[in-house]
Amino acid sequence: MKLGKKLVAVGAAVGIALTGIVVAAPAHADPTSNSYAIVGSDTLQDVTNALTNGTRVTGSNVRVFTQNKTIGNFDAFGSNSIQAKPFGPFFSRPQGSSGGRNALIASITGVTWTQDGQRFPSAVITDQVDIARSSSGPGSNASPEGDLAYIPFGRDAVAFAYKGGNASWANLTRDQLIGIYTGTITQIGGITVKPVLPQTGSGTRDFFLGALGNPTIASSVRQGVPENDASVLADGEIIPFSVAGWVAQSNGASGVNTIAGTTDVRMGSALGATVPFTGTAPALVPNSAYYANTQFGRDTYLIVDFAKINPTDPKYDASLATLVKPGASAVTGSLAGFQTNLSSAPGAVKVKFGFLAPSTYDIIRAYPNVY
Amino acid sequence: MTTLSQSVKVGAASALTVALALGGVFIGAGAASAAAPVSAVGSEGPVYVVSADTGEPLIEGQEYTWDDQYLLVPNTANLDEPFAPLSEDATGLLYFVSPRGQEGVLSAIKASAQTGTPTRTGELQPNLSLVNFTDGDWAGLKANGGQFSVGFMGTKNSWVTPTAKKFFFWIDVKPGGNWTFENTVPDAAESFPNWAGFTASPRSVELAGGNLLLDAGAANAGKTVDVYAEGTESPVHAGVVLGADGTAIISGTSIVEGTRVAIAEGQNLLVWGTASSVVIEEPTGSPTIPETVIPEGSTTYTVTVPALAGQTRNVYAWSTPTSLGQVTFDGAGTAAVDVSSLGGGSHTVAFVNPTTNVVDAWGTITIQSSLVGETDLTVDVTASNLFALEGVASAVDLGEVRRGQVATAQLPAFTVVDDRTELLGWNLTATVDDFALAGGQSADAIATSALGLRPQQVGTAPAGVTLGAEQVAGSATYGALFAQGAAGSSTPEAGTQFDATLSFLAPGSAKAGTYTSTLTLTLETK
Repeated sequence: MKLGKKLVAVGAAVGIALTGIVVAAPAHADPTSNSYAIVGSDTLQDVTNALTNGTRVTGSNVRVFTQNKTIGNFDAFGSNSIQAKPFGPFFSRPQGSSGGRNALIASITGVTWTQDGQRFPSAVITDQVDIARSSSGPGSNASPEGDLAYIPFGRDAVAFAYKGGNASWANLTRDQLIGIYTGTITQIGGITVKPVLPQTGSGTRDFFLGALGNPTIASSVRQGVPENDASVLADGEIIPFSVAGWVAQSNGASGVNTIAGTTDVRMGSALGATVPFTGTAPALVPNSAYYANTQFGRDTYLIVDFAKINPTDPKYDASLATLVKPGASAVTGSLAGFQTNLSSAPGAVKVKFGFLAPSTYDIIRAYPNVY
Repeated sequence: MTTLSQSVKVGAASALTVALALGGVFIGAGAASAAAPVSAVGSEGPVYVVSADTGEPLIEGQEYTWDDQYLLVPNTANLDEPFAPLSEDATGLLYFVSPRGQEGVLSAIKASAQTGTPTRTGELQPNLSLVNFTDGDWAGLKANGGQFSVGFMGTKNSWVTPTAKKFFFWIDVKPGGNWTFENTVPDAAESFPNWAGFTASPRSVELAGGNLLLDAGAANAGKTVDVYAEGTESPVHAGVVLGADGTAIISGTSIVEGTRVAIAEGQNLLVWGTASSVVIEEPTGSPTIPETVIPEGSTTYTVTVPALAGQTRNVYAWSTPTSLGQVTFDGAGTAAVDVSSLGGGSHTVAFVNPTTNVVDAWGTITIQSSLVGETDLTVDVTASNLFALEGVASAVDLGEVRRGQVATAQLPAFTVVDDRTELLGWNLTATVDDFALAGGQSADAIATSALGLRPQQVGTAPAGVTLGAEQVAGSATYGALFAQGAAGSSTPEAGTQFDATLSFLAPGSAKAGTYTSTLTLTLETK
């Protein structure tokens, strides 16, 4: 289930050209899940892989199980199709937060599922997806009658990475970033700055541009590179970057570290003097003041069928409810919890992956008309 | 007026007394009660169970659910302290639930979870919650419960071969999955000896008189050894030097009967054994002391064993094991043993080393018993005396009678008790003095033949008890057998009762007046 994240991002770009060749070769499929299947956001996939497959990033062996079974977490990118459960159908790999959410809905309703932009045949995936990773909330789809439950997972933030530059690049403001990406600012500290954006569909790209107020991007902005990958930067370039991703790579928590192998790359703050993290690698600690910012900080979520965690509903699944129980204590067996008091606690793993506690543990219901 | 007295033979000590006397030898103290944390044979170090949510220690004996999450730590005072590293050759870290005593045996594992490679600095807060075991028969474990060890161990060769070290604690799973637990600490000397290899050698470890008797065999003569007891962390006795025959005596041991014991020279295990109390057996073969006859009336056995001069020995007698206490031989090797608790007949008497319970000398004695028990032991007989004649009336008035007529009277019921250890049988005989005329001459006396006596059983006679023949007034002869008990028969502890019809034929030549006599009933052993 775990694949090298940065490599798959490259693979996604190549894969479009190759799908016609490999589509009939499901032998490359990931293993199936023994219990629940999780799909969706790229931003959350590494930390979720760590929790479901086991990690020692905190010094303790941490793995989350459900009722004596392991959990299947599927990356956002990789082979075009996945088989989530034993004897289940092969279906388009859900990509990103919205892909994960839509696959979850298809799993609940039985509507035919296909991932946008993929040519893998559509499939009915009833009961094949249980949890969707989402790096963003439901926004305007929130509703007290919602059929989906957005369960707070952890808080991330977006800043930017740059290569070269000088000390003045380390602390920019939102207005400076707007100027850089709209083309009105071309130099910082006397050095030419060249803006870059990740590929369309990147959650980090969308969130970053949203934080800037979705300005009109200058034509000079280089686009289409993988997100959260410092190795793509040329000298003088700047790119939005997940702070959690930066911390996770620097701390060695992620499987791939694009920072250590790239010379002269740094993370800068989009909030002036408020730094995104403190400490030095491999012991970076997210800065809660930065994460708390309402424009550059964001809560992330696990999405499930609300009925399955509602004890009064006939579809109630106590095991799933335990697995996604939010909170800061008594949540050792939960993927969603943010308990950090012990090295063995899943929340301690999330901190190593650059996440902080979400701003609230309240579940958000959304999408009232799924079924 | 008839005056009666009682005659009681000295009885043997009761069987109950014998049993109690030897009980101290045969029965050790009870096993030590379990303390928390318990000693787990084979766990590499202490294992404490704490809540995965709070880090607080879970409560031993309290019931938790299958889903409750817990961690293992070696030190509750510092949760960030890892366990000692597993074996360096271990390439796999395996969490296991195993039958107790089979920890580390891969084929015996009930449920498990492969957990990557061991952490070289030692495992930190491993989460061994039951809900986290994904392999094996965890479902059966949950459904049926049982007593298991839960822990982690190293493996190599892709999980095929166990490596040496493991940590675990004890869990008691109830059917349905709820569970209680006991924290564990490692066994003696960092898992030495390995009790899993226990194979007892008979009589290698014995207890006698509070001493520990070791016998590691002549092959281990002269070695300096440590003595380990299962459940105790360090050697119970260290630096014990074995004698030329490979034995040693340790005075004042805390090891109790039933404890598994190991005798080791350094880390080299010599002998296993289970501590058992020495049983003193009646010696057989050729006595080392010439046979002695204890004359009637004597209760002292004077014996000389020069080799035991100045020494103290426990004295036992058989056939029924009887403790005769302890004697100390004088400088000439002579000692006096009180044998008053033994009945008449032949006995084996042994002098036993109180430290080793080895018989140093033995012989047989014969206690001569009296056949005529005339001694009037005037009835300070208490209920504890189990060979007794009780409740004999002090006087019987035969009333008035004419010459040539017969007067009758009833001898009230009395009790014979024979509940001795050795049932030698008994005779109850009646003797009568001549009837003397008050104020008259001896020539006026009426002969004993005038008194008739018909013995009668009150209630049902115990097996082996029979009545003597009736003596008819006018032709009676005394002493007459009143009743007897055959050898091997006993009365109940409450005894058996007799009475008798007395009759008196006044001779035609008798002078008028009041005559008195004494009827004596005598109980004696056969």
